[in-house]
Parts: sequence; C-alpha cells; structure tokens
Amino acid sequence: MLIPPLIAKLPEVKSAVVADLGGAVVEVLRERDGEGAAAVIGFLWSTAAEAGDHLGLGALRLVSYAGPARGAVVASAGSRLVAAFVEPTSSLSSVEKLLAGALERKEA
Amino acid sequence: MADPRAHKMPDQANLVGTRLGNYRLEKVIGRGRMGVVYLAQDEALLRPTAIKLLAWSAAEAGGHDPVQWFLTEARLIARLNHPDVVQIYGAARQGDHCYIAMEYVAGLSAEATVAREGPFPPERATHVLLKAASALYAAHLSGIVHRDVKPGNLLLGSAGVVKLSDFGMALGTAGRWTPSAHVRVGTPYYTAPEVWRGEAASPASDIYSLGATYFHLLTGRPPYEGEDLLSIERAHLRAPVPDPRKVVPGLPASCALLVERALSKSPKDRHTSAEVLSREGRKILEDLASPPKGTSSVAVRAPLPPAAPIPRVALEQSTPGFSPAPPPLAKTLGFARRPFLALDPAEPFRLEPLASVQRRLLEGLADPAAALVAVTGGPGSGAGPLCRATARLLASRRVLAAARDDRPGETILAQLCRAAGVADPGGEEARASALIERISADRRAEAEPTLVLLDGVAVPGSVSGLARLVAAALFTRSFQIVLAGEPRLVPALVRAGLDLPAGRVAEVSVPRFGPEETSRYVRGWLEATLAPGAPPLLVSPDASLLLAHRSSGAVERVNCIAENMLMLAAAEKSRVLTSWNAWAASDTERWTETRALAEMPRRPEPWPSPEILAVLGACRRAAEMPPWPRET
Repeated sequence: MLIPPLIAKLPEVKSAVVADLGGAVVEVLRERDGEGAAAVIGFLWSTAAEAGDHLGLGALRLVSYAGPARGAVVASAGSRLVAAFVEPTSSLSSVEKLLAGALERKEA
Repeated sequence: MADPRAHKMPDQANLVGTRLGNYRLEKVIGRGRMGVVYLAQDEALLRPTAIKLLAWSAAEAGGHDPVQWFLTEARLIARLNHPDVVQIYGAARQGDHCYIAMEYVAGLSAEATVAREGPFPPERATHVLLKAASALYAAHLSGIVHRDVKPGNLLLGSAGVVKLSDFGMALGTAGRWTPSAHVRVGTPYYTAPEVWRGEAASPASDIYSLGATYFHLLTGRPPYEGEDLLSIERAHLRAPVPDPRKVVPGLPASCALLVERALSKSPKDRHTSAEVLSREGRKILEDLASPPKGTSSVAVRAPLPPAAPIPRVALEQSTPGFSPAPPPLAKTLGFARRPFLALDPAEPFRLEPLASVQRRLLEGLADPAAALVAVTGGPGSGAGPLCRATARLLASRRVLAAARDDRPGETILAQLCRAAGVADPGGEEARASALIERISADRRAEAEPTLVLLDGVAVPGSVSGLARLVAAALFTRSFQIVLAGEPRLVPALVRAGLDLPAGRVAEVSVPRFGPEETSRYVRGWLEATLAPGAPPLLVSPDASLLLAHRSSGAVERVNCIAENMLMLAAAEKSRVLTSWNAWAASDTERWTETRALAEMPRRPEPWPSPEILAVLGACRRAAEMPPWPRET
C-alpha cells in the first residue's frame, strides 16, 4: 500500500489517489473517479515541475492546491505521486506535514 | 528398415532438370550448412519455389539422423506463420532425395547487397532491422531461438520485402538435440559473447546477432573483424562496442545507441526483447523522417497550366478540408476546428505516424524510376484517404483516381476509364489498353508523369488489366501508379504473375497504432484544433490503451472513437477523457452527426465492471503497467 496508513485514517482526508508520473491510476482510497483524478495529478505534476524548474526550486517534492472548501496535497514518492484530498482546507498544512513526513520515513 | 544414418548422401549439386514431386529444379541458387538450394518451378501452381535439398551426411550429423534433423527444420519453420519469415510449402522424401519446398524470394541476401552496393543508408538499414526483429519476435514467442542471425540470412526482395531464412541452426531449441555446451553455433562475426563462452543460446543472443547485423548493414563490415577465429572471439568477449559513426561519419547517434545496447556483453543489458528493439528502431525511423526544424521535407511543385485533356479528378470533393467544430465541441470544450476528421488539402500531414508515411510516399513518387508505389494497411488504416490527400499535394501532376468502393458494381479500371473520359471498351485488358493509349498521348503535353491512383485493388480480381498497366508504367514511364490496399498487396501481385522489378517498385505500409502512437496522435489533434487559450483536455493512459484496443490500431476507427469520446466529454462537461469515454464511444458511427448531447450514454457506477476490468487488465499487462487498483 502506497498511501501512508496515517494519512488514510485522518478524518480530514476525504479521499486519496496514487498515480504514476504518466497519470495512470495505481491506488485509490474512497475516490469515485480515481482514473480521472490520477490523470489530472499527472498533468499537474508535470506542469508544476516545469514551473519549479524555471523558478529554480530543484526537484519538486510537494504541491498544495486549495479551493474554498476542499484542498489537495500532492507529494512525490519516487516514481509515484500521492495525492490526498482534504476538507476543510484549514487542515491542509497539517496534512502536508504528515504526508511529507510519512513519505520521508518510507524512503529512509 | 535400414538405418537412415547409414545412407550415403548423393551428390545434390547437379540435379538441374530433375523433377521432385511437382517441382522441376532449374538452377542452384545457394548452399547452406545442410543442403543445396535450387530455384524450381512448381508445375502445378506455376510459381517459382525454392527447394532445399539435404546434402549432409551422417558423418557430419554428429550421430544424429540427418533426414530427421532436416525434417525437423521444416517442421520448425512451419510453426512460424509470419510475413517476414520465409514460408514453407511442404517437405518430402523422394528416393534418395529429401527436400523442403519454400517460398522463393527473388533478390539477394543483405550480405550480398551490401557487398554489391556498399553500406545501406540508415533508413534502409533500420527498415531491414525492423523486419528481422519482427520475425525474431515471432520466433521467440514460439520458443524458437534462431542462433544464426546474420546479413547472409536476411533475404531482400522487391518493394522492401525482407525475409529471415535458414532456421537450420535453431534445432537445438526445437527440443530434439540440444548441443553440448561447448559446441558453438552461429557465424563467428555475429555470435554473442555468452555463446562463445559455451552457454546456451537465448533470445538475447539473437538480439546481439541482430545488433551485429545492423552494424554490418550501416557500415559495410561486421563489428569485430580479426585475422583468425581467436581474435574475433576475444573481441566479442572483451573489446568495447565499436561506434558505427567511426566507420561512416554522419550516421545518426540513435543508430549508434541501438548498436551499443544490442551488442552489450551482458545479455541483461541488451534490449529485453526483439519487440523492445523494434520500438527503438521505429523511433529512429521517425526521427529520420522528421524534417529539420524550420524546413519542409515535402517539395510541393508549382502547378502547370491546366491544358491537358484528361480531366482532373475533383479529389477535394471526396475529402473535405478543415471544418468548423460542431457546436457541442465548440461551445462546451472550446474547439476552433473539428478534430479527427479532415485533412487539409493544401498541407501535408503533420501528425505522426501518418506524416512519415506520407513523406515516404512522396519520396517514392519523386523517384522518376518508380513505376508503382503501394501504400498498404489493414482495414480502416486510412491508406486510401492518405493517398488521395497526398495526390492533392502534387498540384503539378495529372491525377487519375478510382476507388473500388465508389461504385461496387464496376471494376476499378472501368471507373478509371470514366475518370479519364475514355469510352469503356469492355474487358479489363481492353480497358487497360485504352487507358495506356490515352495517358501516353497526354504525356506529350505534360512535364511530369500522370499519377494513376487505385484505391482498394483486389487480388486476383484486378490483376489481368493491372498487369498491363504496370508493364506500361515500367516501360513507357508515362505514368506512375499508386495502389492503396491490404497488407501484402505487392507479394500477392507477384504471386498473381505481375513482374515487379526491384528498384522500380516501392511499398509503404501504414502502421497500426499502438497505445503510444494513439496517445501521441490524439494529443496532436487536440493541440491542433482547440482554440487558442482553451484549457487543455487530458487523456488518461487507460483511455489511450482502450482506444488503441477498441480501434484495433486503425486510424479511421481511432478518429471515429476519439471524436465520440469528445462528444461524451462535452455531455458530461468534463475535460478528462477516461477509459469510460473510450469504452462507451467505440461505436461505428460518428455521434456528431447522429446524436444530441442529451442522448449520450451515462457513466455507470461503479466503473469499470468486472468484464471491462478484465480487458483493461489485459491492456495494462501488455503495456507493462501495474494492475488496475482495487479500492483500499
């Protein structure tokens, strides 16, 4: 399982998806259209990585998006992308930290 | 029964005129490890046939029964039914003679051709590589390792035909007599390091030999030359992989990279299969076909004054130019032009792989020696529309066109007579004569040969008249013929009796789209037709996989399904095309013409159902993707 259990259990994480870098769905948690979400995440990541390159950020590790009610955290885990969809958006920063930490521990 | 091993093999090299079954031996055309090869005439089917006669003694057979060994080779090849493998017609024993009847390929081996003409240009070398890789992949899937891939075992026929031959050394993999480990097989210049070390040959060693063969085709010599066997062996085992660009400067780096990978000392560092090698080869061809930035590879000629009497065919009427986008696609998704439909008659194709096919067709027609160019592809491949679109680019040419499907009750030559304004004399040969007379008369007023375009030639239905037309094109050079038809059209014409000399005939095949080509093609269309500033439309990898699967890789089906997918997306107001869109849109009709958005199917919940999941799973496995996820 690529979605960290700690994240999966958080009540603020309404759903989660793991995609490969090409946008193919690899793992789904409570997400109705995991395939569509994965395609968007793959596109987002490639676009954000390109922008990050232009800005001199180096290898991209994490991106957050927030709307009025719902936010998303996307983090890189090797050749996979882990996305957690969060409600309310006020919980976004804590989910960011937990997700980044969980993936770092996994890498270690 | 006498022990066949005790047979003394008769002299097999002096049997011209002898009849074996239906075959009359005409001349010796080769000598293999185990037999002499004759050109023979099949007197029942009236076709040339290659007859391989066993000329191998029990003493040479290492204790095995040479007849059984020979017949095992026949059975082995017969297991492979592949267009790029020499086909076997039968095997028999007559008296002291044991023979295999095989497809005759009129032409030379790649080795002899290189010796005669010098190194191949990279396009030609890569074309031969792809054909051989395709044949090898089929053999490997059947559990057969060839063990002796080399330029001498690749036969080059007319119109780009390449056949892999001589599976005699593959017998160890056929399960009868595995050679002892220290017995090396194959030809030294092309033998893989592990085989030199005495390890068993494997598909990876065939890939090595194919890489060495490619090096030879590109440079005119094998990768490792030596004064004796020992020095060649050492080079294969230890010398760095040579760079073909040091022999032929100016070769593309991609050719050198393919050679480097295929000739890796360790089998695990080579291409993992002949199919993977093919993919790399196809990319080389695509790169070679792409014009340098800022230039156009297609020279569109200035039009001549329209003075000649043959009426120009109104090709524009049969295929519309770019159309405005249908309202659902324009309003909801932001398309400026209709995607997946039209070909702009004023411009060449821009999307691969069709752009490469069109370039090759134009190059073929630019060669004044070319009498016939065949554009072939499976059903729905778009070969016919592509030829018509290409003819529109040749504004300076007179074009006579006919398509089998235009008037089903009428032969294609009868239609051609109508297009040329020639009274139909009745009978295919008479029609051909009348057409030739007309075209030859008009040729005097034209700067360039007329283009005769025949879409949907049926073999043998159209052959009698077609043979006359082709012969006239060959001898008079008044016109060139473009045939659009099914794969293997040219070999079928040859079998039907047409004389198609190498160098005067070219064949261009329209490839079937795999998932990668489908994805690139769809994205290309979307980018070309969405209005500037419109948000992107995303296509999920599973949608591309299913689209390729449901269309069978035929471009006309891809176009139809992809447009229907957009109609579904418009109905759902979604900018992501998923496997659901691809599955539901696989109708044979274009919905833009037949359905309103309100009538579009709705995505079922849950998606996908178990049956569709099985299809998706198979597509993912073939694409080496992880399985479709289950809800966690």
